[in-house]
Amino acid sequence: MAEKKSLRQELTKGFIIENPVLRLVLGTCPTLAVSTSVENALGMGIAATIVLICSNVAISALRKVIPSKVRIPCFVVVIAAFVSLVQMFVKAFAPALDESLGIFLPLIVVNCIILGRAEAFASKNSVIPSAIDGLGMGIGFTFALALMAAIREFFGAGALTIKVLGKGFSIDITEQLAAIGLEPILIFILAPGGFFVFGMLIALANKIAENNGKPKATLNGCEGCPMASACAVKISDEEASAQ
Amino acid sequence: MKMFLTILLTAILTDNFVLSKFLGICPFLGVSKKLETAAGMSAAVIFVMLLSSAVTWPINTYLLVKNDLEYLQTIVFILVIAALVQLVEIILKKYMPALYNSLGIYLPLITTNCAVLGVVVLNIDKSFTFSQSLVNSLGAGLGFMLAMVMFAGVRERMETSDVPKSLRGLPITLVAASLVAVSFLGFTGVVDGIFA
Amino acid sequence: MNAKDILVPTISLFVICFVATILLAFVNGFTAPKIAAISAENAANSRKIVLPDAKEFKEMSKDKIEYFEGKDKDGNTVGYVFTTTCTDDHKGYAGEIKVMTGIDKDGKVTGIEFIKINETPGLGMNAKNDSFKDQFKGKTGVVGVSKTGKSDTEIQALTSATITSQAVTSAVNVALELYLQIGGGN
Repeated sequence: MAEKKSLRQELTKGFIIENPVLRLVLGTCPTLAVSTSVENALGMGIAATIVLICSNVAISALRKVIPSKVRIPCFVVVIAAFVSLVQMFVKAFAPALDESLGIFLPLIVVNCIILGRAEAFASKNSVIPSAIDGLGMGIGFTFALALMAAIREFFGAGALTIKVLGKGFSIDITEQLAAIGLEPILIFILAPGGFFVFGMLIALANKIAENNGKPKATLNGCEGCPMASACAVKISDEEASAQ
Repeated sequence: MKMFLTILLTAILTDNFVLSKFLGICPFLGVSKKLETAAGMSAAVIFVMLLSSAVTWPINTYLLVKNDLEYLQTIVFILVIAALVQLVEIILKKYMPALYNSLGIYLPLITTNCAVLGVVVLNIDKSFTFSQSLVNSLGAGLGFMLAMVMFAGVRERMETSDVPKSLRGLPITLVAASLVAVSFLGFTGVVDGIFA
Repeated sequence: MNAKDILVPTISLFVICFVATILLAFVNGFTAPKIAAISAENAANSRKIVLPDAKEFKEMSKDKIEYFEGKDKDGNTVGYVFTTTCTDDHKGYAGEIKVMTGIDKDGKVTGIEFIKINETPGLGMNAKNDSFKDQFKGKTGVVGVSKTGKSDTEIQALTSATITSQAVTSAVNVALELYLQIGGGN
């Protein structure tokens, strides 16, 4: 499917149609773990987007030079280098974010979205489209993450804070809830809530996709996974779709 | 002894890698359909986790920290894990083909998996000693196995259920995962209650 | 496989690693001091909290024990500040817990602050509440942990977080032990 997309389409496809989290089902681990508050989600999204754009550009620029045999390790080193850079900057200029993201900041290295886009796009396209693709996918990732976080934070803590660089707004309905004898649904902030909200969002995304004639999101057998070429496990698309 | 048991049981039950920490979700959702694949995958994960911890801990302590090179941790760890897994795969394929067929094939999938890098990073984060790191990795792997095997059982049961159309496939799988996660929430006070 | 098949990929990978490392070393050069400055500032603030009577702090080292000596505006010693970690066998749920303890010249704890703690939110992390930390004030010698109630020599453990409470207490006890070792109060 190598239809030449316009640059604008490259940018917007990552937002809904090919949203990496809700449609391609990539990057599930950080999505579940970091969506406990919108602030964390935005922080993670921005960090991952920066890494994604940088690594896409670097890998695209080097695509003719990297031998195919060792391309996965080379990609991983490039991505790891950018993640380390982002880590250092975050530690120096936003230490609070470093604390709240915890181990998920270095784990951006193994975020399937980044390796997946490197393998599927950046290694086969030139620099500018790769950068745009990275930006689009990153925005999509951040959007899905923030959406999940907003739902979980609102239901789970009864309060919602959306702030960027200290400016934004917050709603707190804990008092109104208490007045009618209700408490926030704590489990939304805990682990099970993450799985549940994620499942519901995918169901919603599937419904929208179906209405537009597009296929449902599945764990895509092995083709969606960046390791598809290197791995020896062969789960075919039919087997996976039957899940 | 008590300390090792605390670390082990915390990693398996209260801080389960998949159901509490959300590490290793892709294989958890993707490979847990059948019990045999789930078991094979988990065995491979335990093996890689133990081996990676055993190798990265000394590298971190005697090479990186000693020379103030902590900022190279991410790169070094992921390279070590990738190299180790590649090496193990080659050795298994050549000298133990039976073992290779049952768990070796999952090895590349584990390389770029947050579970293994996660446990290695956590060992450093928690400032564990060498033996504590090994016990933690073992616990992490066993917890992963427990979650996978249990979930495989749940999914095999789900095959005969009547699922609403829009929830079929991934959504209902995730809802099932959330229920399994709820059951693990029940372990929250267990380690403390036993050992304190 | 001829030599070229092995050599070219290996060299490419090596070159990429090399370039990456140089880049990282370069960036580390100017971010590391900033990171160090942040933690130094946090440590200085914590010292003021744990030993409130001191107006200035002096870094000391005696018999390989590093600590801070707090003096009031007249230059008299008011107490000492130690940063200790929980003992290995008390590693808590989430690993190492680093505690900064202020001890006055009579050997009584004046306050504790956490430098590093990563326990379970809602349970072990409640150790950061003043109601738990303040229990240590006035304690001396060796502090114990009780599940039923506090006393002159014991603090009350957090609900469902006895392991965390024991880990924190072990760190404070190490500080109290160091106080004796540097001959505090003499």
